[in-house]
Amino acid sequence: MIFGLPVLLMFLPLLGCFFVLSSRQNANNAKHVTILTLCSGILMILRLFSELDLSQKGMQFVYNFDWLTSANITLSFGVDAFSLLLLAGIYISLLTAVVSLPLQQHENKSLLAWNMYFLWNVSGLLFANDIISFYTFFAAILLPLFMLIGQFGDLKKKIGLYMFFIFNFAGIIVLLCAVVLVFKYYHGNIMLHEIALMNMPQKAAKAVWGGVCLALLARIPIWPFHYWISSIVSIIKNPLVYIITMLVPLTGLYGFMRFWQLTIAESVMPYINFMAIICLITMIFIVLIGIAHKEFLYKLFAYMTVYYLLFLLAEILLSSILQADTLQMNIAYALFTFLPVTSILIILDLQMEKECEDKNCDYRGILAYMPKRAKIFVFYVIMALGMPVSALFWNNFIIVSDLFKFSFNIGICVMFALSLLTISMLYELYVMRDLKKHISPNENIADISNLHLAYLAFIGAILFLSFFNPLWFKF
Amino acid sequence: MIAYITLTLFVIALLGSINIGIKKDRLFSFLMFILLCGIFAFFGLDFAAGKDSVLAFVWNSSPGGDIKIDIISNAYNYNLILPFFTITMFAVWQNIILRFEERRSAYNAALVFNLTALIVMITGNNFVQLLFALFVIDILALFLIKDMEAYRRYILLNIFADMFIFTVMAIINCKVDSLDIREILRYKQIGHHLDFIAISGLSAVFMKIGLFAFHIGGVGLQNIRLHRLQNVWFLSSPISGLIMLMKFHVLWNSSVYFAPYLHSICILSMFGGFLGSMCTKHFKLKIIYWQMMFGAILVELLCFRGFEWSKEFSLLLLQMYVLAEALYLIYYYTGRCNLIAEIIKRHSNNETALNMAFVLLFLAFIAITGTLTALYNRGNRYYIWTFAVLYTISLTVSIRQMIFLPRSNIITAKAPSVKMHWILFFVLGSLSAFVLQPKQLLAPAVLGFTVAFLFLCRYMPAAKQIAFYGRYKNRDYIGMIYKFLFIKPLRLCGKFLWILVDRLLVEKIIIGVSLTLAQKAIVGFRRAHQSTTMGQLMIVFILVGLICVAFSYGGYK
Amino acid sequence: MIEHFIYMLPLLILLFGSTIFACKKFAADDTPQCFKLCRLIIAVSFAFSIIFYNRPMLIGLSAANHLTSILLSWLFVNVFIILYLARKWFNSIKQSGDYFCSGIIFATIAGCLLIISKNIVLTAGAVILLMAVNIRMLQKYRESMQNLQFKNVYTKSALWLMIMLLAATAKLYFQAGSGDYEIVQNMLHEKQSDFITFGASCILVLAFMFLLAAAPLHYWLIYTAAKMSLPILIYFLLLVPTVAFACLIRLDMLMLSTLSGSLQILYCAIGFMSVFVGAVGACASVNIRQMLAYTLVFFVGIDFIILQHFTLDAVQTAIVYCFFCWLALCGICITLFCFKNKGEYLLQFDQFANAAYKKPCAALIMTLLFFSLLGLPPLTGSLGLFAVLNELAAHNCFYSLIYVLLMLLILSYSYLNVMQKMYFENSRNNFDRTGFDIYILLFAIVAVMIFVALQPHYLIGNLWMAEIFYG
Repeated sequence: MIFGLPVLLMFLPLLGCFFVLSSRQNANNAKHVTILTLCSGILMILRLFSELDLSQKGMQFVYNFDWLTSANITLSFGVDAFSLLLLAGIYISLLTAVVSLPLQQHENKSLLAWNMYFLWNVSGLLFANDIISFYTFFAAILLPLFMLIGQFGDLKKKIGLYMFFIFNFAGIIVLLCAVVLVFKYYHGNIMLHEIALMNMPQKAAKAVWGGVCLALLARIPIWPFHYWISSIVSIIKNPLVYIITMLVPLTGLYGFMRFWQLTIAESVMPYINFMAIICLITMIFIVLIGIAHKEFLYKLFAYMTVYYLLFLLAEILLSSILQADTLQMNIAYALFTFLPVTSILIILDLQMEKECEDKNCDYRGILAYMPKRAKIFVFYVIMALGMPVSALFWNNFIIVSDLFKFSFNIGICVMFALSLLTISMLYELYVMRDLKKHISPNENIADISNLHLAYLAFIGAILFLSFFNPLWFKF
Repeated sequence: MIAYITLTLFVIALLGSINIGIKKDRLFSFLMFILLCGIFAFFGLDFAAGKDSVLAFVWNSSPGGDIKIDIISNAYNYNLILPFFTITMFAVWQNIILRFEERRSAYNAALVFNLTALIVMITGNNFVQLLFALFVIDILALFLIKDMEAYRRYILLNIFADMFIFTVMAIINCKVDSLDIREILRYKQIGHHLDFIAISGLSAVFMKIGLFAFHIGGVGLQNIRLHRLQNVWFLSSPISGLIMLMKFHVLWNSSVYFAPYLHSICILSMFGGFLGSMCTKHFKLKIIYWQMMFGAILVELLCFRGFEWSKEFSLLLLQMYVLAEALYLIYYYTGRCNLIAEIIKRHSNNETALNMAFVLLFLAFIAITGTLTALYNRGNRYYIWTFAVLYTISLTVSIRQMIFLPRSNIITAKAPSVKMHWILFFVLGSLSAFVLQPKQLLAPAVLGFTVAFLFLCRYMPAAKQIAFYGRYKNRDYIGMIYKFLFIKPLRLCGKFLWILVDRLLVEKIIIGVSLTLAQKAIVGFRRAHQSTTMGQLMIVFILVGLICVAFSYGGYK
Repeated sequence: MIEHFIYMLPLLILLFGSTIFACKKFAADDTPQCFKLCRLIIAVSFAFSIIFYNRPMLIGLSAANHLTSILLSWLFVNVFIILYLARKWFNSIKQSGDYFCSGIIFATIAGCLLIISKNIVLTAGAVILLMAVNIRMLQKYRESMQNLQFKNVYTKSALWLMIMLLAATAKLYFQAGSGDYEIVQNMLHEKQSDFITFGASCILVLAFMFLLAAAPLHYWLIYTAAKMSLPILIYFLLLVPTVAFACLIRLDMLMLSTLSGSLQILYCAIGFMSVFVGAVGACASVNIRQMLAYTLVFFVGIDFIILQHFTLDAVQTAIVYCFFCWLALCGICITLFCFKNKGEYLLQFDQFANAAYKKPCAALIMTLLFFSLLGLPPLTGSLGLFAVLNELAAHNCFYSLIYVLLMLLILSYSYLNVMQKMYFENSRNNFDRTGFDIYILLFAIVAVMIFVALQPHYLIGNLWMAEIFYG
């Protein structure tokens, strides 16, 4: 039975998508169906965790599907602790976003349907074990993203959306070139972890790895690809869409983790340092811009970008000197906390922005009027900054320490960026909490509801337990 | 055994943080105090028994080693914990008596949590454990401060310090491949970036203690309630900074910059604290500057004792706490005015209480002088003399102004009559008696300073200085330096990069130019598709040309 | 002798049908009957062509194998779809469809001949017939294009090309002594260095390029498509390219492969030009029909880039890709019938504003089809694109590969414009009710696409081309 479960889990969001589309046109149906689907997904993930053998390396519960036997294409899907942890993080993030979604008109139906479709693609990506299925789901993400951002992102200028699509589509095309080349030399489909070990002519190998790296980097807001995402996220006002957009860099990061599972291809080695420098420059660049911006949301964007880049740096630099699975698990533990925490902060912040807009009051000092929200907000900011309330804390320590092992200068740059980021976010938190900053006092500002608070506290408790043991839910 | 005590403290703190009704709060906080007393008694018995024990368990594993939680019970740790435990107990007691907090049990819980974290930090030998406790203490400082304006600088600076310590630990861990703090000596042998580590670590410690040039966080606390200020200084981040210094000095002092850096900052802190306390008209700010001076001398004394904590240091800390409490009582019974001029203007209705507070202060002063004499040696003599002289002058000026200045020529206002808390005086008196070391009181230096103290309190020409307060504008120069050296440039840099790269380069140049080019191309394309004779001729020409090329260059199969 | 007559039944029935339509005039009210009759004729013809799938209709002039059967089926499916959709259009404007039906029957005859032909004379005749039908179609429905500046451009060009085609065919026929593909191929092999012969062969190819609207002979489609009525547009987007492409690949493999070295340059150049014109032209369009015409030019260009290799696997890839594009284009054409405002089918992008809210299902399917055309996984078009790129990589044509992908990126911009209007622009546009049958047709297309995506081995992977080509 367990062997059917991963496939069921993979297709569950698609099933949910159909149910959402077929739900009746009232405010709640689509939302309830989505919540039910997401909760079922989380339960399935827990069940899979209980059956997972952590001592075993590589994918487990592998399911092969002979798609095109004559062309030697067998699609392979499987899971490991790394992908399951990420999936759990994504499910929790999306569930939180959906739970806090305001009950609105019929728009929710379309929003939630695309959301489920996106989740299906992400699930597929995390389950993909071979290059064709990886490419398929990697590229497929673009469609729901484009629709979600375009429909619900409140974009005023269409050029931003076009740029977003074209940047991403270019990335997909580059990856497609790489896949075609791999296909040419391997004469069939290949498992992801084997690609780095594959024999290819030097030029072809360079083209393949160049393509793969470019395609994956295009998903991460690394300079000069940062614009597509920075121009978009500053405008999006829908929490669910924002969270989904911020999950996109995860797909790029995940790609690096999977392609370099065992080793880094030799043809890329000479360029690793160059990539690392670009990563560092972007980190510092984004942090400084984050300091210059006054909105908490932008600082949060800077925070997320810096963390994604930190994990990317760790992956590209350390996989040659550390055991890949250990490093991956450290990153996965960190991401498992990072994803829900950032999502919750995004939701809380956007809700506050909306409240300010509705009540026509000042954003600064608003938390002074919302004691319950302030508490939960501070807690999650503390968690996000890697304080000792979640697994992010000591995983950060280990990752940064390993980066120092690789290069002292890189470690210093990373710490510089992280420190500035922390200070910048804490300062903004102070601005939001300081009553004196509030210019137009408004007593009618609504605080968070008790039910929502309880839900967020519950998620907080889950993440807090991860501080003691990241896999505490595995029995 | 410290481990069990820690666990019990944690449970008490956890229970204390439960939100109960206001009516039950007092009883609940009192019960907490009773429990704390009981635990303190156990602590004392354990200390006296002198048994060493270790509680260690592996929390998590990583390639760099196991993350262990060690709670080591030995005489050294007991000695180090003792003053903080005592201060925490007194702080809880004071909180029950003076009723300044809306939710006393929650505040008490924060204090007990803080004590637990301090114990974890003192007894731990693992980087992650140390970092954990360090961060927790800083987070708890948020609850202790509870003032947004103060929180801004203090916490920001402390977090910055934490990041420094984080960096230092990460570098050490990466080289020695171990999370055990006892392995840092191996790093000393490896010796990479020792100077960086020493300077970063020391800077972090200075930020935490609030020494000169790093005191903007401390100065930011001037508007919080005085008892919170005392608790923060004696129990929170400054103490964690001291503990870090004691744990890491073995490594840091191998840098050639360690000693000069440490001594120069300490000297600057003493003079800076003296000047600050003399110039400011703000009573709490004076206290902050005195604490800065005290922090500097404590670090110096520790340095000359090889950073080994001893009974004298515990005593010194407790004596200083009694002195701070005496100052608090003066503040309390003079109507809790922040400005010295305001305090003077109010004719007190609480003469008895003020006189008793002065007695307490006097006792604490001679106790401190006695302990300093006990710690006196050839190496630290200049530092001790400097501190003693500057501190005595600065303290006596303020005491003279607040208590002994003739009030006949000053327009006075009635200060509100404040309830006399005999029990508070009793406990503080007991504490001062406990910290008073009779043997040291007979030393000539102590006698000299006692006489000087009494004399200056009575005859110091302090009235002119009050006029000086009126003219002198207390500006935060160090804060301005920080602002213009770090904050502004960083912001400007961010803005510049944003405008240059995002706006100008990407938006205007890359995207703008591509769009213009695309539009031009589209217009050109539309024009090319006009059905003109020229166009048709061109098509024919292209096709004929293609056929010719294909015929000429194509190979046959 | 009688059996020859029987094997010709599909053609004869079509001829019979055309005679009926020539003799009987249908009034505007009789449009349903007219289309019913036309469908019946086509259905019977299709049935006979299936029954005699391995029997040549014209002995000595035509071939009958699996490939021709498949292509004939494809042709008839096209015709059915066109007739079905055209009936709706004619019903809505209350106009008689007899002329259109007769045109479709003639085009089907021409298409059948092109698909089965193995004689250049027959091929040229069929091409001329098809061109003539096209001219008449455009002439007849010129009311709808009266504002168009270039209404006669097709007629002029087609007439010139017909003359040239006749001359070229005559040259090849008399030089080879026969019109049979194999004999002409042998002749071409012997006369490789003869420019006139080569030129005549090229003109034959150019005629097909003209029908396929490959650049630079694409202008007629672009000029006319902008205000073409929907049935005519579908006819030019689906039927004409299908038959022209079917005939071209047979011609390539059976006759022109001997000139592959030279024709490779021609094909490559035409392909590159078409891809460029298609991509950039689509971006410049603000009219959906014109944009679809450019899309056709783009995909024809890709097919030519693949066909340059003159190998069976290249042909197979071209067919597969052509099939995927046809499927998507067909779907898009059907969705165009869903968007009608006050009885008028939509033309400009702006008119599609608010479409996603008023017609969510049609808008969604249209979106998916556009993305499928771009080759975005997991949509079916990605299979076609993957096959094309694989083919190019197999022949080490990496520059072509990069070029194709780059142009695809440009093409995507034009689709984004439509998406943007449909989904992201608010307007008070209202749309007329759409018949349920159109949705059924759309779902059928989607079902086929899903089936193909799940079971692609029917189309790609194994080299079935060799088996069916000569089978």
